[in-house]
Amino acid sequence: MWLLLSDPIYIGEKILKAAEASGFQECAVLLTTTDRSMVKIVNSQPGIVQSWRTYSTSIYVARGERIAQASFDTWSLDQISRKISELSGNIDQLERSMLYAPLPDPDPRARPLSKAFDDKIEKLMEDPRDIAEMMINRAIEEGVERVAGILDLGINVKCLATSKGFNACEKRSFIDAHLRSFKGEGSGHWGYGSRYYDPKELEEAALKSAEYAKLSASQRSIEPGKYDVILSPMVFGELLDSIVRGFTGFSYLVGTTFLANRKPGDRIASEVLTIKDSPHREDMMGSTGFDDEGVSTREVALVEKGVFRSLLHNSKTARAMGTESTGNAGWIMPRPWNICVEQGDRGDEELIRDLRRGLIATNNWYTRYHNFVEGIFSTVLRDAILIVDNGEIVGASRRMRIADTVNNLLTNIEALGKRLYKVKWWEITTPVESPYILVREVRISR
Amino acid sequence: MEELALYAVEYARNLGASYAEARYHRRELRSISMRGDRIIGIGTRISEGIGVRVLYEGSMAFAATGRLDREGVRSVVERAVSGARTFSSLVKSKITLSREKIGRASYEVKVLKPFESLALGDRVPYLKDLYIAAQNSLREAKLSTFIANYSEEIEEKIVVNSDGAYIRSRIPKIEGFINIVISYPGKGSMSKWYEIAASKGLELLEEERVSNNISNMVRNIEEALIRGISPPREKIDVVLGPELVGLMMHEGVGHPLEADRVLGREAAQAGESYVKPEMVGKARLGNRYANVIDDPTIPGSSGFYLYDDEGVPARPKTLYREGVVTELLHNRETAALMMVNSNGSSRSMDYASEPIVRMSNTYLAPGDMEFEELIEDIELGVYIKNNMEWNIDDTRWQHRYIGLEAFLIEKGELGRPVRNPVLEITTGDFLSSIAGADKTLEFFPGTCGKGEPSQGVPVWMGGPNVRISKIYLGVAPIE
Repeated sequence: MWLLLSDPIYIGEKILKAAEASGFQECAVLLTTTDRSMVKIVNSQPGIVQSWRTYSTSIYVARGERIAQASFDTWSLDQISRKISELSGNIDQLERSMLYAPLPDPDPRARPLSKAFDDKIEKLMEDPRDIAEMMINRAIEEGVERVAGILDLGINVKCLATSKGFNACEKRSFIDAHLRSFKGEGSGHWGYGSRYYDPKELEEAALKSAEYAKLSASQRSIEPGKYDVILSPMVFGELLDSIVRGFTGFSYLVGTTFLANRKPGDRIASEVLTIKDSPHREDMMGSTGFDDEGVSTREVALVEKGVFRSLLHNSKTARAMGTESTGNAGWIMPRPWNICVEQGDRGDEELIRDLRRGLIATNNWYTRYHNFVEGIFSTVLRDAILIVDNGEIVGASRRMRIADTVNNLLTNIEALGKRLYKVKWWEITTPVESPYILVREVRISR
Repeated sequence: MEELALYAVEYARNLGASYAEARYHRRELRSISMRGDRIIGIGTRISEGIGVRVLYEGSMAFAATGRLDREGVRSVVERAVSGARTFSSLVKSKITLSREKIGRASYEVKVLKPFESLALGDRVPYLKDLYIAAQNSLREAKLSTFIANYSEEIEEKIVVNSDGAYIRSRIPKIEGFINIVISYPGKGSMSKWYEIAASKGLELLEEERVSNNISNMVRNIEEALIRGISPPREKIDVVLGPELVGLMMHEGVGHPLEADRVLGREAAQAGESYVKPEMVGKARLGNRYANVIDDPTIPGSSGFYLYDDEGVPARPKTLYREGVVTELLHNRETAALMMVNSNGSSRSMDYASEPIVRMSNTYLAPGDMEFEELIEDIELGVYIKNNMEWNIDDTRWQHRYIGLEAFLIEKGELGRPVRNPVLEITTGDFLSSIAGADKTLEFFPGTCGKGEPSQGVPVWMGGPNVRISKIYLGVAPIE
């Protein structure tokens, strides 16, 4: 096998020694080897097949409470050692970091996950043609005119060594695929991602994209205004990408979050909403057993029954706020691993009946904030925007936007679906599991 | 590295590739991040490797590795050829490349003040001064967030291919990025991302009046926050500043005129286009002021290059001339499909990224008026100097911008600040309703995202102050 586990451990130790020799008091080395293949589907055929074999090395060093980071796409020890020595020359010119905190002692609970790897994916990488062909054909057989999309799969090994004595490697696999189908004026798009290969999920992504393309093949204009809206997991997943960034200790400390004037215990959303960061969901693409500081990852409730429960911390933001790391390091910025929305009590069809009159937003992109603190944002709805009347889908709208605030969106959630979907595509960077969500009185604009 | 790149091309050809290209690509960057006048940390990043792209029986593949020895290169070439071969049976419409005059050249951007002339820590007082300038400019409101990220980078490339290309380049890049939030009790807050960037050395910091720019901007935002009024609800004349006009040209003209989008290659990512192949040279969507250019040869610009990543010489491209779609942005694949020549628009973010059709520096050509002339006969209007939130649909037709620094125009003069004016307009309505443009040509930097995996490349966007007639403005929701 190409990814040799002994190499990173050896290299990690070498780099720790080089940092110590350069006079750094603390060091962490994160090494990742990745073997990845991606098929880009264009006009119903492969447009390009891409593959990568990459070595990436990230280093954190500290001396006298001054901190520096470095990253390299190489394991050339000479090059890395030279840069460590250069950083050593630069760091003394600086003042102490406002965020400094010592690297934590090794956490005995921090262990690599054992089921984050599916060897079927390693085999598939040799020839992913059949899956790509299956996805194209399943959508075309449903009667769409053409499809475009991505099939992306790979394996990687992440290893962390710290000067405090933490040393571990974790082997993972991933597969994500998204397909956009076109028919008439319409299109449908669906994406899926997991650490495990499940052909049924990939087939479902193709079928959902085809179904939405057909439902939106003929479109009409609607007027801007307030609408009751069902957000698909793709849409809520994309919005959560930026919303959950607001839950990091860093965003909170520097004041770039809609939570800036809130504190844990405050109600920030409808009581039906619970959102967690779940790194131990081994089937999800962000799963991991330890963070970049060697702290054990754990489930963190961000919102529980509508109440703001916790921020995501590394040891730096935790120290600055007088609390403990939640196992979400990033050396400077904490980050979520897997964003999971708890299921609701309605079937997907039942949600449409409960909506009665309004819209179903199936996909979106280009979410931009006018103001992070006030949570004023807009996002462009793309692909099928379905019009619902009397609890039934009666047509499709031309492209519109949601132009509202995070606060309105979260507090106006009325119900969630029972079924959870693992979604991932170009616009969703952190893996999300979410149901369909019914939100009342959403501001829709052109 | 040159030898390894040449070896990659030769080996791919020996394995049966009808076309092979190898790019050694190295980016070395160092950075400082600050919050207010306090340091968060420093950083360095080296991205270095070889990317190989091949055609095999009309099937295209790309593979990349950071392992820079013969074994690493051999392995990556085998992977690319094998990927293309495996999928060739599924490729019904075979991919070809246009025939071009391919370059053999070596060039670099000379700087007046090299990065090495100052120690990294010496940038800290400069960044602190910017914070102090922002702080001192506020009279009543509070500067609740000031985050600065500063970076300098050297990008080096060697591009070779089986059609004879040999392009060696070395380009320095400098970028500063500041996130500001200003707040006032009872009025909430307003925020701005301010950015400077260029393919220059440290002389940029002396040429650009960053401190003045930040002071003025902060003062205007404070006024808008505390005393800003809602925009008039009736149809009015609106004047847009160069920053906003540049962004509109990037989003509503540059992107939809990328030939790969027009042909569906980005359909599942950034989307498609309102432009169809048959519209080129024929469709009139704007008026005589609608002259839009993309020019990678502007010295010192963020999007500067002289040869693209397929070895094709760079040149200015007129995307719209007097309202007519004139020329798309092409690489050799799209040029072959549309039976034209490439205009040298192929760029890649780093060694691990395939070269794809990209913009460089995109702008609306300036007009012949003074700014005062542009507004002198406006009885009631709004001047939107710049914006914060913006987005556009995936065919690049329906835009939305929320103004940040914005002012009422009353009886031909700039007056009271306007808060959160919303401009929702189609590309066609904008290009056909330009009533005048001033002589200004100002550029603003940005990072343009496209492709999968997503590639961010540096660009400039620009234009003059532009007047558009009789449109409605909305207002953004405020809690």
